[in-house]
Amino acid sequence: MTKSLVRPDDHVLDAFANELDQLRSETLKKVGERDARYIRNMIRIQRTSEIVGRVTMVLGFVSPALWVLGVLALALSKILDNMEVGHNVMHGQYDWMNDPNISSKTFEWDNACDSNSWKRYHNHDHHTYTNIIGKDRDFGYGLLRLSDDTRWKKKNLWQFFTYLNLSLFFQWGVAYHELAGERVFMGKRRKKASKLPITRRQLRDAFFKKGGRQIFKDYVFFPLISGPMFLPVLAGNFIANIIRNLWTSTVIFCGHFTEDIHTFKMSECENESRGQWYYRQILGSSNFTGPRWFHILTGHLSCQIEHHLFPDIPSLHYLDLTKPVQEICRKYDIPYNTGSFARQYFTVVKRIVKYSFPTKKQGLTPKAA
Amino acid sequence: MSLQQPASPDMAADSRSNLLVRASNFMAKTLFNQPSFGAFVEPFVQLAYKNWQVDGIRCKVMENRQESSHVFTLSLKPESRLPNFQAGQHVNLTLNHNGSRHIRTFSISSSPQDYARNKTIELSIRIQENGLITPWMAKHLMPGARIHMSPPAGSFVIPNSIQPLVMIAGGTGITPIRSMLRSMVQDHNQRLVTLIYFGHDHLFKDELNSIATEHPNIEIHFVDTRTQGHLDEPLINRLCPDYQIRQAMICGPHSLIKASRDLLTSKGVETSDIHFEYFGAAPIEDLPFEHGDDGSLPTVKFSQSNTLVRHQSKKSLLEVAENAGLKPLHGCRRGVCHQCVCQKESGVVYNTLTQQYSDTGPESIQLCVSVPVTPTSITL
Repeated sequence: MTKSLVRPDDHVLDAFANELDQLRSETLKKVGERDARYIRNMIRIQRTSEIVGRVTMVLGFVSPALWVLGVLALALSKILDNMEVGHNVMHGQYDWMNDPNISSKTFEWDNACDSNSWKRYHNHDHHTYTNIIGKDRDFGYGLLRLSDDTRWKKKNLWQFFTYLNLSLFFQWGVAYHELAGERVFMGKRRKKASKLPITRRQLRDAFFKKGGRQIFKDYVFFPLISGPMFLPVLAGNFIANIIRNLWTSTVIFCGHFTEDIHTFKMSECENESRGQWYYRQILGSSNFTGPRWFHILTGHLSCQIEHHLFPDIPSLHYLDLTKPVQEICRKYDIPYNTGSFARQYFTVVKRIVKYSFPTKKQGLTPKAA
Repeated sequence: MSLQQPASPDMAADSRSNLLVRASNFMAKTLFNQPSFGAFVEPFVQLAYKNWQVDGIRCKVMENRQESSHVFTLSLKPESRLPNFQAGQHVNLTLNHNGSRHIRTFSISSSPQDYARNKTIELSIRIQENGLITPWMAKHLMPGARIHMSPPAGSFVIPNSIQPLVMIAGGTGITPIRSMLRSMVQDHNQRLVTLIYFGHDHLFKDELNSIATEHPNIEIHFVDTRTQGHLDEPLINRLCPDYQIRQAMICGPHSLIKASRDLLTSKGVETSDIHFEYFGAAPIEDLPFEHGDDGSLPTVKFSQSNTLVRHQSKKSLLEVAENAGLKPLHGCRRGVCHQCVCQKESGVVYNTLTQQYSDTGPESIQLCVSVPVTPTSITL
């Protein structure tokens, strides 16, 4: 369904980049005290809901309603920790605060994926090579066929169920994927020597260390100290993790795999200018709308376009940026993909189902020139 | 650097409490992904106590006193006990300005005996003309405000002997020397001291004058740099003829330290008898940002790998590190992915992406988009 689109001339894109750069520097001037207060508030809400969640779950023996409440509070804590706090802090949005506990260098999140591996692959591969087939490994996570650029295989027939499984266990999928698990565990060799100053062994150790810690606290430590409530707490922690997994996976799929998303070839992106990079970020991302609390729960990834343009601007500013970015896009006739959450999600499902089947030869879609 | 650590009276208790701290940090990491339980509660405590930090010593500002048009003195009362310190040492203050933490180093200008008596310490601070933090401090750190401070540290202290001293100070470089003189006087120390103090706006002039009149072993000369010039051989011969047999303590701007060291070593004074501390560097004023010839490029120190190189023109710190044979973790090389974020210990760097100059103190920087403006030290 990718619409035919011709990339504007270089000098047009340069002017376009200048406007976005100016918007960026104007926004950076506003970053300060308010952002510091905001992120610390988020951290307080997240930690409070974690404590409340873990305690009320144990009180489930008084009334099952308390157990349900506890599960929801813990799920909320994990969602806030991963999205509005962790994801954004690890992008370096708050490094200017110079607070060692709110720094991209040190922050560790409540997620099976260790933060260093995540920064390496998500911040680098995904944000630099957004939607370049073969480079952005987040495009389909190596499991799903989401465009014609990937050859159809038999396994794609049931990829909708693969997708559901991926969503349920998203944190483990991400943890495995971000460290390029198939290389580390299956021994698949890279053609070229790795440029990363980190060995497979280090990657594997980080995976087991972080994953082990997460399992220990949610499925051993907290259930054990709950005594007779061992099983309900264990189950509650499991469900809280599942809720978080479903939510984060849904948000992320709505940000990159909606109907009108464009894909790119590496050859189109070599030596690209800043304008061309901005252009690709906008075409490779999609927004969705909703009330304020909803944006917070998505970690402002509901403003995926703004996030991809300015990944290190504190997320508090993304909503305010949607209007000017949209205006600039309109001015340069560049499509800006937004819609309601329900509509965007519907098109994601459509895309997954559509590419489950081989595409007819004449159906080859024209891609961005 | 010989940091003066108070000797622990009970090593066993010390290692036991160390073990407890480590166990507690391990649990904080395991259960809450935090480096310590202190870090976990820090944002909550900050609700009640603004800018509270789990590390450092919290201090209450008791007084903010104008010393001259460019210098003010802060009187601070630490809210927990300060470890033993020596006259001449310095502290790092963490200052919260517009949501971000700035760390600045200042010499203590009062003496350890002053602290023992009234539980306060004094810092005398020059307001940097185009600085961000010191003008703000002078205006906003009023009595009652709270700031966090590191324990005192530093090796610029009076050497332990009875050899006479020649002290050479320039500008606000007088602050650690004032601390030393106060400390000696309060200790009834009879050691011979000659202080030569360069400047045109001498700080603590009355106080120093009265110390000199009351204590025959202490001699003080105020040299006005506008009328009497800078340090040279005739001057030191006139003010302190036996300087060659004294230990020298020098504190002030780079130029003064260099001139004094050159003069003293050329006259046969052993380098081990010359103690000095660089002071009052104000890089934000005079950014030589147009890097000229290669000879004038700033130096870059990678502290963990013990490497000192000169910066290369039109290169980022990441490239400089790589050319020096280091392999810093890195990613996109365009300021997006934040993998190459490193701790800068000191120096001003210019961020080519944000087009902003950094702070002078310790903070995280992205190597791939940073260019050093002044000599820079990086934990790498």
